[in-house]
Amino acid sequence: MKKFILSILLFLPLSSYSWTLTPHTGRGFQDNNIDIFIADTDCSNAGFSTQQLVTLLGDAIEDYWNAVDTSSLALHNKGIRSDIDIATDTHDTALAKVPNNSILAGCNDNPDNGFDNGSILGSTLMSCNGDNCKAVFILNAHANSNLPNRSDADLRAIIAHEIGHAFGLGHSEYQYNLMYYSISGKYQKWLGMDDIHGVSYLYPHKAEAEILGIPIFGHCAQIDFRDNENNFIASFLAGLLLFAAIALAKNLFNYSRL
Amino acid sequence: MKFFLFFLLFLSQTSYAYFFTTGTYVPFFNRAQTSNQGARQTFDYNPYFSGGVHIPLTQLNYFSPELGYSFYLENAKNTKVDVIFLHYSFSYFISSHIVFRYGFTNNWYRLVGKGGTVSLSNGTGTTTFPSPSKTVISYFSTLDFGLEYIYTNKRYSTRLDFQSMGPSNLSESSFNYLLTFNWYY
Repeated sequence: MKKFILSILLFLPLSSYSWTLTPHTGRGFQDNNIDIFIADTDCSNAGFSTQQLVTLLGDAIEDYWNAVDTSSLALHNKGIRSDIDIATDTHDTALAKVPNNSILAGCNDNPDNGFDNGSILGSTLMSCNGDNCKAVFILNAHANSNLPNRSDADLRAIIAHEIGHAFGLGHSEYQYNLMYYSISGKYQKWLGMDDIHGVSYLYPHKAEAEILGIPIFGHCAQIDFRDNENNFIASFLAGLLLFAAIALAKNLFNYSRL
Repeated sequence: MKFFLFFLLFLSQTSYAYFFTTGTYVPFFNRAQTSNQGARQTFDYNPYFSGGVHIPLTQLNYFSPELGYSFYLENAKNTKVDVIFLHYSFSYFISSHIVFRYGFTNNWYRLVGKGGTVSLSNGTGTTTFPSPSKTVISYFSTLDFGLEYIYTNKRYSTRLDFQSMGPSNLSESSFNYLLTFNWYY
């Protein structure tokens, strides 16, 4: 027993998690289904075309945020919006062009966004008014931008990082998390636990069910078949009914043997 | 009411065995990044405790409901995460020592924010980020399968249970696992 306890102690806290939320809002969207549009602006100085941005964005969504099974967040890549151009906008003026409850992505080279500093690869502004939130993230397409030197894998991670800000996450303290402030010096293929906890905190699988007006464990829950939010009660009752059926069968079996 | 009567009658049977369990819960196996080089989660120590009962259905099949609790061993000042599990497991005795387990689990994944702010780098300076300030529970279910090895004295066993978090799409699903040591009485 002593050896067992000692072996457990060897694995005691080696890691630390701490996710944060977006400055100014400190919250996420009301709805877990969020559309992402791409502004019809030139991204060539960033090293890719606007059409390639659609693909990179789609991969960033599916490889990172939509893959978190403890969260109900569902991001939808809605492609290019030809009626929205943010080529000369600041974050504030671009944000005014974003439909409510959606995210806009795009590129520009406006020095007012800090993009004359090539090490700033992108930045995001999120705003909420009551239940309505919206966000814009802009990738650095200035001639000084360091984005063209990045691999596709890095670009996906950079875009996923900005999406994280756009739906409500702040930075993480630990470098191996996607929401760490810099992509330099690491290979970010997966989300870290801070990222997973953060998105699960902002967009949890919801619970609404009660039995006879009594919340089960404070609330009740759902079975996660991705898009179905009301199945927990069915699974819970199914479990109880199964229990009852087994009990009934067992008792009948016992009586029949008497 | 009939259900509860059946339930009580069922519990009054004497042919079931209680068990208590301790071990570790490893979430997002092979899916969460744990290093700057892209290494992924293979092992973590998040204490897991549970109690349950083996209820015989046939000579080789048991129903093994189990209530468990785990918490993340973390040093973060502003957040805490723990999980409550309600396992609906079935056990099939392949031999007198080896048991195949399958079933599903309801998970209450609790994320606790303690509030406050954190100043973190933004690349050109620092930004003050708000920390989570409320408690949120994410509810989801998992499809489970695993193996249990029962030691010769029949009082102790070791168990490895995998949980698929996306049972409708196993190839894309994240997996958790529970590695536990169990006491029977």
